[in-house]
Amino acid sequence: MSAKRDIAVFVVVTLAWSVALAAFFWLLPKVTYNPADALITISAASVIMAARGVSWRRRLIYAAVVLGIFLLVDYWFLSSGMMHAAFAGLNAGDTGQSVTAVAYMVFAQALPFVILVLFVGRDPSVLWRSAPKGGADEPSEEDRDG
Amino acid sequence: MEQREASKPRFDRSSLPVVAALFFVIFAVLEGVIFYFALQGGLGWLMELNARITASLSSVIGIPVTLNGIQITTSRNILEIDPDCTAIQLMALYSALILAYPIPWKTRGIGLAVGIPAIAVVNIARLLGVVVASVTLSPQAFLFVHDYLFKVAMMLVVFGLWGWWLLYARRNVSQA
Repeated sequence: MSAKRDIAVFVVVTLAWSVALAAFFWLLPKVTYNPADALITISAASVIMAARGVSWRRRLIYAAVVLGIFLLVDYWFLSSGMMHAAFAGLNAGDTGQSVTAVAYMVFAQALPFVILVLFVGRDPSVLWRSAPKGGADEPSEEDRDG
Repeated sequence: MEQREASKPRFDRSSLPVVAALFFVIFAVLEGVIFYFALQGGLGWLMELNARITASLSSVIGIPVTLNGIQITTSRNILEIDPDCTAIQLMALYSALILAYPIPWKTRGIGLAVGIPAIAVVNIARLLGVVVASVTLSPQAFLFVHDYLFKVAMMLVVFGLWGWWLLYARRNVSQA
């Protein structure tokens, strides 16, 4: 299969996963997460789940980690009342609460990318190329060489 | 010989946690700066620029709109460009990713020089899509497209640009 076709398949599968994960989030109680920031996590998890060059075990672990950490922190931030206080403070110009709100946004936006950096490693072609026979958990020879 | 080895770009799996941590720190700093400027009203020019380009392109494709500062009035509703609509946070995410990798500055510079304008162009296309959606779709469908579809699409664009740059950087580093 040509590289272009591999990439096209990867993009289609990523979109399919994003629809599936969005449906999963839609079924969750809306009070446990922030829908706008969940979209970044959904996008990252979709890319992870669609990565054809990586074993299913590794894909599931990374997707579970990114979704799990996001939902846990988001739930804690919302249920503790800090979410509302922080964003109300941001709108009112309260410096302390603004810092809390920005810290939350940094977390929500950076977490998916941190997990993706670790998942993709130094070779993004693992996302779209077919998995080599014998499993894809181990880094390639080229990766080991650095 | 030792000096040449020491200056060889280091970009292997063992450096990934450092890359991830550096990315987080750089993004936190950029986000802090963006919010500081946003709260001081320092992003007004960027919002107005996005609004002006979007309004001009809307007229070009045959959708009459009226521009008033950062407000674009279509035949059905009023759209307002806010700091989020300028994609500046996505540019910060992408920039932090590029800057976090321990590879030559020239390679990082090329990544920024290509990626940031690309995000800006795709964002204008998104804003144009928002205008089109606002005059063609039902309010519910418009909200879905604006709040969900385009946000996921923009994230995938950032992932795609990062993937392209990583491939480019990888070739560059292996040739060093």
